[in-house]
Amino acid sequence: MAKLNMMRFQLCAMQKDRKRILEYLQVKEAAEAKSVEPAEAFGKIDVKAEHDAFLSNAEDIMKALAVLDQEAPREKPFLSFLQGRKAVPYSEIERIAEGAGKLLTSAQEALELKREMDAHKNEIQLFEAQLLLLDAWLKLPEPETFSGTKKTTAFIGSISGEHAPEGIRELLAAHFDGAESDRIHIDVVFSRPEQTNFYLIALRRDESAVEEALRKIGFSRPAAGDDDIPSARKEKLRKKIEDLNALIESNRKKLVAMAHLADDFEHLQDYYSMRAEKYAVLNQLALSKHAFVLEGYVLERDAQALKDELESHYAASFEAVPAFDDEEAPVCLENNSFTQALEGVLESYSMPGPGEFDPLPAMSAFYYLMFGIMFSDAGYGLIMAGVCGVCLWKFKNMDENWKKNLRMFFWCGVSTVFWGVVFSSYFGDVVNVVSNTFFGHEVGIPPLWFIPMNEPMRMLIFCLAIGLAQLTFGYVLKGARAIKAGLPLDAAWDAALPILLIYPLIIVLMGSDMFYGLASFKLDLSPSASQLLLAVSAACMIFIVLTAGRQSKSWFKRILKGAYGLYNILAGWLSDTLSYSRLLALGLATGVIASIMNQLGAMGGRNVFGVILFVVVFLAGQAINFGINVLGAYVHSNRLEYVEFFGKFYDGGGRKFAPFGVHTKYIKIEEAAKNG
Amino acid sequence: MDSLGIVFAVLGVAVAAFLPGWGSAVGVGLAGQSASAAVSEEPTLFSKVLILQLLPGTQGIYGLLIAFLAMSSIGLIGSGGAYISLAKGIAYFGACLPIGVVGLISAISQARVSISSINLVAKRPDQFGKAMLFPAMVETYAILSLLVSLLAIIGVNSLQI
Repeated sequence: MAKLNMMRFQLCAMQKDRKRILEYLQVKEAAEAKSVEPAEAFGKIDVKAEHDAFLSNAEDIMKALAVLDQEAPREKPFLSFLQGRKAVPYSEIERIAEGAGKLLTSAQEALELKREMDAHKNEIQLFEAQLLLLDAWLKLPEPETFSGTKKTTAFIGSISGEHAPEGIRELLAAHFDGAESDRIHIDVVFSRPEQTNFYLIALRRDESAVEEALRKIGFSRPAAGDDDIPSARKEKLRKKIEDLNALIESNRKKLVAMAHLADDFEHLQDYYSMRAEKYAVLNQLALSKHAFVLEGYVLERDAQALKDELESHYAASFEAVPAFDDEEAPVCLENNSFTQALEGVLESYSMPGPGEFDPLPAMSAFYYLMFGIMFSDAGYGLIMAGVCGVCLWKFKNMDENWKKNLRMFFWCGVSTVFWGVVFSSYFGDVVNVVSNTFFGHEVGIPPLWFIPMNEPMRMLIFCLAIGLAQLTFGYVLKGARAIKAGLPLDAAWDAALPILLIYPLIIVLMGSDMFYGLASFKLDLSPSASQLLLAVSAACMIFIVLTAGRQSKSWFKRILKGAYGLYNILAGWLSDTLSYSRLLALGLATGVIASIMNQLGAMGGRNVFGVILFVVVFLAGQAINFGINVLGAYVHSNRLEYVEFFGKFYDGGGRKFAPFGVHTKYIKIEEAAKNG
Repeated sequence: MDSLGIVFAVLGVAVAAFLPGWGSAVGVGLAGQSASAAVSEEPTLFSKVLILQLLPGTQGIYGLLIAFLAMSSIGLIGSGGAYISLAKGIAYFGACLPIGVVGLISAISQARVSISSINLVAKRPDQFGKAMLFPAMVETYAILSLLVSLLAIIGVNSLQI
């Protein structure tokens, strides 16, 4: 239950077995490959182009799948994302591999159909915009380009503003010098406050005078237009749009007809990602004419089985040595499911670095405890644990990461129920409010311990005590790490001294009147006992001043650094412990907001309307409070682990073991599923 | 003159509700812009950046919490309507100040950190844990002031003045 032992291996085998060996390793998912420096007579092959081609094929298929799912949605069961990958025999991969070329062509066809559809849709939009413009010219009996007859000349265009024919005539009259305005004919085809479209017929001999007058009132000719009259053009555009819609429909039908390929596409996408992963390993091999070398890491417990299997089936040599002092070795953690569920939280920070132990067991108990105190409502906890529990029970095949997260929230929920019962919070004070409002006499569930809202100081001291315990535990782990690294003196100076320094001070504090004022109880210490404790603490301080700067050669520097170290330790104890007061603040926040929601809901009083109001406000209010506080509890549990706890002993910097395997989205190989 | 007690207490309620609410509204708004930008590049980041966007929103909730607590203490909601002396009213006002002022300032500075964290997650989604930690550091001070306001209001409730 901790960090698993990692081994470095070197595999030497014949080229002719290469394909089968790599495929075997991929299905086994037990070995991580690293790049081999080729020795004499060995070289490397560059298959990056093939690797990239597989990836781009996989991406094409993914896009094609998205197209199919959009045009012909498949029925997906509720919560399908929790169902995990389907286990298939290796023969399914071989079947897909055979038909890969044809399937890929189909996928590209689907993409092309979709591309055409999009192009048609764009065209339709363009035509629709033209139709909209055309509406303003529909009443025009001639094409916009019509310029007149032998004796007359026509002006077709628009001016701004809304005008009747008479109005336009008057506007123009101001700019004529003769009787031209009697010799023109105006028809308005469209008139709106922003613009008036009209056509004007004048005699050929008045052409220049009319044109000049029109120019002066801001006349402009239409931008679009051809030799068709507008209403005919509108028909043509309508027809074009109809045709395009028919094309789109026919493409859609073709895509719907391809819908049965969706499952095969999924398998094909996975097949290509498997090939890409294999080719990534191929890049790291060293090859000669007849042999190849693969190096990497394997778990100690898998090494022997792998060696037996490889050496008995192929002309191969598989040698593995422990990778204790290998700085680059990856890390693999294994714990019971209660503890391992937090691996995601740890991974978000960092995996343990070389020489560090697995911090998961140490952090897990505190994590669940603190989450529970911050969320601290039996109702909420029951919902959380219930939902996660049912999902875990119903979807046994779900993805490993989902499983870990749901397990984590399941245990967080259990802890939340526990603390909710301890502090008597059931959706806030819903029992009291409902009994009081609707049944006339108040009933409450008594707390197992006490109600934090009524005794906040007691709760604060409890939270700080939890903080003190976790911080002390952090120092103990720091000491353990130093001892494991063969540095017992470091453990004494850096871990034991800070603990010995603070506890006498705390005991003396607990005997003071100030503490009585806060907690209403105090320790009965004799003055000599207090003095002895203070002396122990003072001695520790002196030792810390002397040792905290021991890396420096000069005594002057050493003392200065030591004094700074002492300051850091004291300030650290104070601020880190106080940081745990957030357990109280967030815990009270959950309970108080929940109670406020109940109170608001109960405002309707004891009648039918009141009951309806209560149900609505209760459901909405509690849902919001649940969301806000689950976020707060999660973020701040993480923070207390990362900053206060890990700050004492844990650096991280390791890399997670990532064995060469089948990292697919839809299917997994049955044999691999059996192994892990 | 003595009836001014309730006036100060209600001023306290207002401060607790509107200052942190203001800060959170500004903060969540700013972070939301970055969050949409990140999601426009990479839609799968939605749930992660949503959490980061919401972090500066908690101050508004803390303020609401204190405001409600104060209202129920002075009898504005629920049972009550008890007489509040001037001294007690000013004491409630004072109790509301920490979450009011620190809530406003911390929400806005937390939003700045959230924006940087959203950018971080957009570039390196695997670093979400650390990205979440930076804004949570700012939140500490909002929580501390919430704690002080909370304890102060509970304390003032039992004062005989």
